[in-house]
Amino acid sequence: MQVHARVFWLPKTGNTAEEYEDAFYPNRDGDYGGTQLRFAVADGASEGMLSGQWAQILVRAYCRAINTSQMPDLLARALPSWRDWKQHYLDLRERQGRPVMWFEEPGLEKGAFSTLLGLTLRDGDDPGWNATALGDSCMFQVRAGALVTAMPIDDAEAFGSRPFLIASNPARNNGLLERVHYATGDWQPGDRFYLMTDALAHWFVRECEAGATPWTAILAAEDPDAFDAWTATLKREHQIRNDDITLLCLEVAEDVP
Amino acid sequence: MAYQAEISRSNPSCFLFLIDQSASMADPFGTGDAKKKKADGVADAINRLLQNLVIKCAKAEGVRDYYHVGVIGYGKDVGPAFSGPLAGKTLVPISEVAEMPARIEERTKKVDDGAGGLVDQTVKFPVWFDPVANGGTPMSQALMRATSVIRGWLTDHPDCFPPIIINISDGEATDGSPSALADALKKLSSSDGGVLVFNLHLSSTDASPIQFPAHEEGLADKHAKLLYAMSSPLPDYMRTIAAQEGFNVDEGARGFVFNADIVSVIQFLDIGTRPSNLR
Repeated sequence: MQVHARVFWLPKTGNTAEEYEDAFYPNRDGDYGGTQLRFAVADGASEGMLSGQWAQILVRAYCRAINTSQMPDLLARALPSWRDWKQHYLDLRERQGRPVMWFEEPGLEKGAFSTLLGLTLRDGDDPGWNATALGDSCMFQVRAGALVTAMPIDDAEAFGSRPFLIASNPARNNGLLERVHYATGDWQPGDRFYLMTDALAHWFVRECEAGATPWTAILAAEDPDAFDAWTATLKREHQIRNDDITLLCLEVAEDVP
Repeated sequence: MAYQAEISRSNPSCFLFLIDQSASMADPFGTGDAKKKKADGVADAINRLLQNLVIKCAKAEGVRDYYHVGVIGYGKDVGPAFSGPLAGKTLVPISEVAEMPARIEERTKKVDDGAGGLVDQTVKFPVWFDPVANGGTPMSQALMRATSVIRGWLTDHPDCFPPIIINISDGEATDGSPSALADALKKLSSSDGGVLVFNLHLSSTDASPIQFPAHEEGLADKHAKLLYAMSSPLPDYMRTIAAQEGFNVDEGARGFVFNADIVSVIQFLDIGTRPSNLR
């Protein structure tokens, strides 16, 4: 199985690239081959502290896990990574003479929050796909010009600004496992999968509900500059809200070598 | 639709606090701790409001200037009431508020120990204001000053999320009825809607605390009714968040609180994704 991947990302208008708090994996365009290919996007919550780093840890935990997409297994990988990274960060602040300020302490205690949307494409003895999602980052599967799958949200009304997210502080994850969405399906050569964070996903679902084919506009964005210009227009027309935007476009190759 | 403007560093909004520093604030507050004066309640409320607003705007790399903040005291005098390095300033970016409290105290609070019990934890408590109780209650003058400050802000920020004014008082104005002046203040607007005026009423009256009522029935006295009448209804988006946070907010609920916590108003502000498991 071979998959061509394209990645588009940009920070919220007015923010710098360093302030971008979404995450995605793999982190570059290219052709990926193998019997199990894993992809993920995540959206760190703006009200959390260090949420961008937590989102990075989650997408890596998903994509580096082997033969499991179960949330407890993913958390078992991600939480120790977070603890190590946070300790390193706090040590660095101390060494740099920038101790934690009083206004950072409550946020650091509460921890970071992020969505996670992971997709695994499988070939060989057990072909198909499976996805794991928590929060409002979404996956859409398009085959022969028609939407086949929308998950975990397929209703534009269901997007809000108060999703239940994955917390880096385990004490805040009560009820998380019951909220995880798992889905499975099949794929065919030529299928396209779109993984995206909520600003674009909300627009995508709304367009589908109106009978449109939003992937046509996505396909027209051939490079990052075109993508930036297109999303700037959507923002100006208030079709999408100003937020970090991440889009991972995957196309299953027609010709299997 | 009103109250939809994005609050950002390039399009910040404004908070203006009006704090009653009159002699009547030396009277006892509510029915609880008899030693606590209304002036202590005011200082506690304004310090906690500022602390929570700063924390709301804090990221790991610093405090983002989503808001500019001012405090006008009214009692013996009417004017800017920041103490310490911010003394004399009318409106300052929230990052300066964060960096320049008069002092930082340490207090203890009870926190969950993760095993079903509670333990004491030391937390830093920044202080910008100490209790003051001196002179009359020139609330009308304070509202006139607020109108002047907000008019200037709106000239410079015509498309901002509408400024929020929070008045903390016992409601016993000594320079005439403030109602018409509060109405004039609420008539100011940005392109996103009218200025919001909220009131925290700290009273010596022995009556139950009330948060965000939608009608004046049950309010203890004429002072409470006056401040309730001066208060703006919560915009729909704030009411939605308040309901999600577990507050009982009927349609028409106003930004009025009687002898209770008003700091929750900070949680009703929308500056981005707030996870439902972050309380």
